[in-house]
Amino acid sequence: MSHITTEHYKSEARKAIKDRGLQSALASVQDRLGKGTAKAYRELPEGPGLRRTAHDMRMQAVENLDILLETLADNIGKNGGRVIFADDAQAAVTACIDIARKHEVKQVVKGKSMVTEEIGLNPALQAASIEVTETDLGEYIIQLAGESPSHIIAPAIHKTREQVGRLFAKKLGIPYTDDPPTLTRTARKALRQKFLTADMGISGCNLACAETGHITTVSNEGNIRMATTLPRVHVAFMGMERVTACLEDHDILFRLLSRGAAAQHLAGYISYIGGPRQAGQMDGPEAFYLIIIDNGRSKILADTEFREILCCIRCAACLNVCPVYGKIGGHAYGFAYSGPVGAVVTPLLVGIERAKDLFLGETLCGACKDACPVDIDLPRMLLALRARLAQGGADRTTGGSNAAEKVFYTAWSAAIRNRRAFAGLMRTASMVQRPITGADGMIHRLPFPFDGWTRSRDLKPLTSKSFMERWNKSSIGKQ
Amino acid sequence: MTTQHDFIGRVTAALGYAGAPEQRRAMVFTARPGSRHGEIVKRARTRTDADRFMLLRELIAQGKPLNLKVISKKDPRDAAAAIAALVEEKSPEWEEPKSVAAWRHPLIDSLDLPDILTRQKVPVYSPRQTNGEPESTDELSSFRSRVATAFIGITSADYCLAETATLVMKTVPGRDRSVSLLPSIHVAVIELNQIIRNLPELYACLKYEGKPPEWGLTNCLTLISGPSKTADIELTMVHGAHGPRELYLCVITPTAAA
Repeated sequence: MSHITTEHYKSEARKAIKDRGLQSALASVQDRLGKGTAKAYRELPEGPGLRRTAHDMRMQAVENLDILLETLADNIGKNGGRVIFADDAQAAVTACIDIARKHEVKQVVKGKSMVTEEIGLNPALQAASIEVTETDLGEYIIQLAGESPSHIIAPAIHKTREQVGRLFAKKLGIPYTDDPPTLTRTARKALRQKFLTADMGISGCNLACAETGHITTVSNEGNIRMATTLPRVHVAFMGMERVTACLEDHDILFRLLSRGAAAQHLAGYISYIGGPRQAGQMDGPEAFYLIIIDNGRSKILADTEFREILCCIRCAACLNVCPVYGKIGGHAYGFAYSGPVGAVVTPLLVGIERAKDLFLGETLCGACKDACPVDIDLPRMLLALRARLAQGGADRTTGGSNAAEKVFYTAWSAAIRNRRAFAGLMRTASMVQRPITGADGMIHRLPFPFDGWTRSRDLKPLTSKSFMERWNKSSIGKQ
Repeated sequence: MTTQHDFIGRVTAALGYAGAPEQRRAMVFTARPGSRHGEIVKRARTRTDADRFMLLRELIAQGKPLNLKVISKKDPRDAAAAIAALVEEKSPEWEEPKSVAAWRHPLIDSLDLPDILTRQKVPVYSPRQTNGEPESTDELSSFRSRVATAFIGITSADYCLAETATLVMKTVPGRDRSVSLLPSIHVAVIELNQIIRNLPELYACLKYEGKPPEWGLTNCLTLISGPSKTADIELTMVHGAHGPRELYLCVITPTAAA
């Protein structure tokens, strides 16, 4: 399993908010991609309602996943590919290392794939003495810097051009420059050598097609085409939910994916890969493997409250509109997936208790639902996670709410249902608050155990006369 | 290691079904309502030249923001001359002297490129005609190094989508993937009647047109919309991240309607 740091959400978020470079980068991503996506949806010939159609399509696929996976595996097998099913991260990583050993692989080039981040593939390959090079420019930059991606499709968005310039000067031995075209050309040259000498290419899979037996890869750079065309062996990793029944489904889904991810009509490169090189072809890998990963997904599938999250196609549109992601960036989320989708999927994969800060930290503003190309109701699931956390439960390793909180809310619930008790409570509170109300008429600090409420905001004091008191004294109330 | 049977059995259990998937299977793989393939293929294949010119205009407009440069030529001779001019004008990114890689394909063969480019002393490499025996490792690596050395790659395409300015290429012998990938400049040559409207037309054609080995998607179907690009450094758009930095589409159009 890859490194999970969801426990440090608050401290990492605090750090991110103080990081000026990051703040301006996040603002610019959201300003450009967030707005661009909304505009792209509005301009769809079918209108934004197409997202609902896509949702139904994805949901139908998820609800028949067993049939789709069986058909996909059979068809890929017929085309000469090998399909491996992996229960968890460890099994997936081991399968990949076994393939590498069997084909005497020393050097791997990789296309961007979030599921390989989820399973911690790179450190495992390196531990097995296999050199791994990330080839997406953003991923390459953060690999050189020894960091992890902070955005699903723009992984190095937290780096400024000056930082990339200094990094390339140090690691690639070029004279310092902060000119993006020059930096891109430098990476292009260095990585071309890697592509031409690598033994194995690794990719993810955006959406497989069961009826034809193909996976698809999507990129704008062309790095995934390189990684899946030039090396002797191609290994693709796929989260088990990323499959559709029919080829026709890809029309709507790819148009929406491209709009959600980068406000494009269609991504620059889409490849359908269904097997190894055939007789008479002069390029393409001699062996093709597809590793289909569960790693907690079947548990999500069994839980009808959260099944909907498996419709996700990982486009990152929700990151580009989320007010929380827009301030704290991707690293605070502590796992491969960040933003609203991370706040739902990470707790379901790593444990609700362990990753509770992620869904508690979201605002429930609903922007993510409007931005989602497949109209996933993320706010509903954020709330459902909070409910699960409060209720506790054997199935999800949550501690439930604490005892004091329970006592407080039980008393509160009794008080607010009794008019006299409530009025008495309010009167008492409005008297008690006097000494802690500041000169500006605001409460800056509540006493323990309520101090959390005022840690990052001021509260207005309770009014001295409640609405009901004023109502009863008013001319209308007296009638 | 888990078997396919166990893995899928667990998925079925998670979904709460108890076997007998036949009914679901029939429903899931029925073509979507409204996608009447026969009609779509017929519509795509029986357009008038005037309609096709309209699609070409849309293709040009959609290609513009993507940096796809579209040129129309009236016959293969003019197309070949345009390519010769490009070969003359552009300089290699990686290696001197200039060389060109091209598909073995009826339309590309009809351009007589080896002949035309001899005048500029620029060699043209194409994959050899295979006769069934497997390609040797030497052969593969020599093909690879020739394509990697070439500064221009010349291909055709199976279809071209107007609405998204997308080239669609199947993988069949003679039409290898690296020719549209490794050279710095990619030139695709097509005929006007290869332009179709959009993805639904493409998917219908892929499923209901052609015969083996060109039937269906083949082992690798590539969709290309514009040259390689990245915006990974501060969202600044740069062309030529890994694939070709320039993409030309040469459309051979019947003179009468042009």
